Amino acid sequence: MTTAAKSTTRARLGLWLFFASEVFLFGALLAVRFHLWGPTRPDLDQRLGVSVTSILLASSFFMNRAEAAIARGDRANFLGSLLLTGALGITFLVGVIGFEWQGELRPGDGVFGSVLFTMTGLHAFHVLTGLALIGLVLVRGARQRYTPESHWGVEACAIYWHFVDLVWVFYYPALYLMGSPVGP
Amino acid sequence: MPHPDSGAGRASAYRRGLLTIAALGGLTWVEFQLSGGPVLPLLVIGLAKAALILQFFMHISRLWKQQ
Repeated sequence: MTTAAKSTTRARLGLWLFFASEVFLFGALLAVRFHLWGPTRPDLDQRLGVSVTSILLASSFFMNRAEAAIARGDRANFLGSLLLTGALGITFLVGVIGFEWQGELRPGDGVFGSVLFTMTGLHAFHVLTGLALIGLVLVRGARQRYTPESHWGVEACAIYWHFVDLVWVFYYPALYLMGSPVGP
Repeated sequence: MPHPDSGAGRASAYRRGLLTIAALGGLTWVEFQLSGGPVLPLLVIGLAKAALILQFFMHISRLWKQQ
């Protein structure tokens, strides 16, 4: 194994260890939701919930496409797919912050408000940091810093973005689908 | 199985991405239909979606593969 390959292997392992620590953080909030809400949930906008979920899943698809494109040296497809991923990520944030957070439920409205805003807030912060990473990779990609042989930066950004999607895979049903809806 | 760097390998990477997003979309539609129902099916669907993302988008298997 070459030195560069060893370095990438170590970096990959480090990133996954970081995810392991993140799982405890997001998992703790998930446990709080089930402890405090029990078999109930706030009456949230179902169409908005499934829409933002679909948008985030679509963004993961384009991120995967961007990673596959740089691996084959298809720069135009790589930059285009990355740009689309960022645009979909921003749309997701607009859906959560611009619409869900502007509903009747406020952060101070008991356990429903506090849990909803803490969970979606922490997740939205991770989406925001993912968008910053995408911006960085876009700039470096436009400057031709990545090649089919060497693009760990793209892979790391992609894995981080998919992790953010992975968290939402569990947050979406926990917040929007599980339990009986109760008015705020 | 085609080598990832070959022409067939690249095409298969794109096709795999498409199949994965189609499966994720289908499972999301099913869980939306189950809204308000029992927790267990929703949990199983969530785990299935997570497995798809871990395997095909996050490439978790690269952790124990040689470069």
